[in-house]
Amino acid sequence: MPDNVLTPLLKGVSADNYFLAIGAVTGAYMAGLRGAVMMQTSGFALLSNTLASLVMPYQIPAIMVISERGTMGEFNIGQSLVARTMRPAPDTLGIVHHTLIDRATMPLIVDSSIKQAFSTQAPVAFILSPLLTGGNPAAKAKLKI
Amino acid sequence: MSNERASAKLLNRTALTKILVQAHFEKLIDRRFDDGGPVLLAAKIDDEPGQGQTPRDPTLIRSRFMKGLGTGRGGALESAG
Repeated sequence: MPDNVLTPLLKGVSADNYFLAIGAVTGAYMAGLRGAVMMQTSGFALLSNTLASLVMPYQIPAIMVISERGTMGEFNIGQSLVARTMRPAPDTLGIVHHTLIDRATMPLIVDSSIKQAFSTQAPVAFILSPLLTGGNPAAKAKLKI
Repeated sequence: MSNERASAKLLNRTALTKILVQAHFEKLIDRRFDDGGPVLLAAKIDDEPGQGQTPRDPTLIRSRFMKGLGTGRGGALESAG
C-alpha cells in the first residue's frame, strides 16, 4: 500500500487494502514463503484488529515497513493525530518495532530483526522516519507558515 | 441457497454431488482431474448435531496446517527437520 515515500520502492505490487496485505503475507508464510507489508502511518493505524486477531494469536512473523507521516513537517491534521497511535498501538499488542533514522544502522537493525522475527515467530514493524526518507516530497509545498 | 450450493457457486461449479454412502465417497476421492477442478465434495456424516467444540488454539491450528503443507513444524517440541 505505497504512499509518496514508498512508491519509488514498489513497482507493480499493491494490495486492495491493508487487511488483505496482512492476510497475503500470513498466507505466504504458512505456505513456506516470506513477504513484507509496506504502508504509511494511517494504514498501520487501521490494522489493530487484524494484528490482534490474526498475526499475534497465530504467531505470524509479519514484517511491516511503515513510512512515518504526521511528524516533522506534516500539513495534514489527520495524519498528525493518527501518528500519535504509531507506537502505542504496537506497544499495547506487544509487537516489537524499530524506528529507522539513518542508513548506517539500518542494515543491522533490519537484518537481525527479520531473522529474529522468523526465529521467534513474532511480527516486527520498521518505522521509516523522515530523518531517513526525507519525508513526503509533496508535503513541503503544502505547509503553511 | 444452502451453504454447500453457495460454496459450489463461489467455486464456479454448478454441479454439486451429494455423497450418500462410503463407497460413493471413495469413488469421488479417487477420481482424477481430467475434467478440471476445483471440485467441491460435501458429505454429511450423520443426522446428529455437532458434538463438543473444535479446539480453538491458534498456534496449534497454524502449526498443523503448516505441517500438513510441509512448510513448518508440528510444534515447538518437534524438530525442524
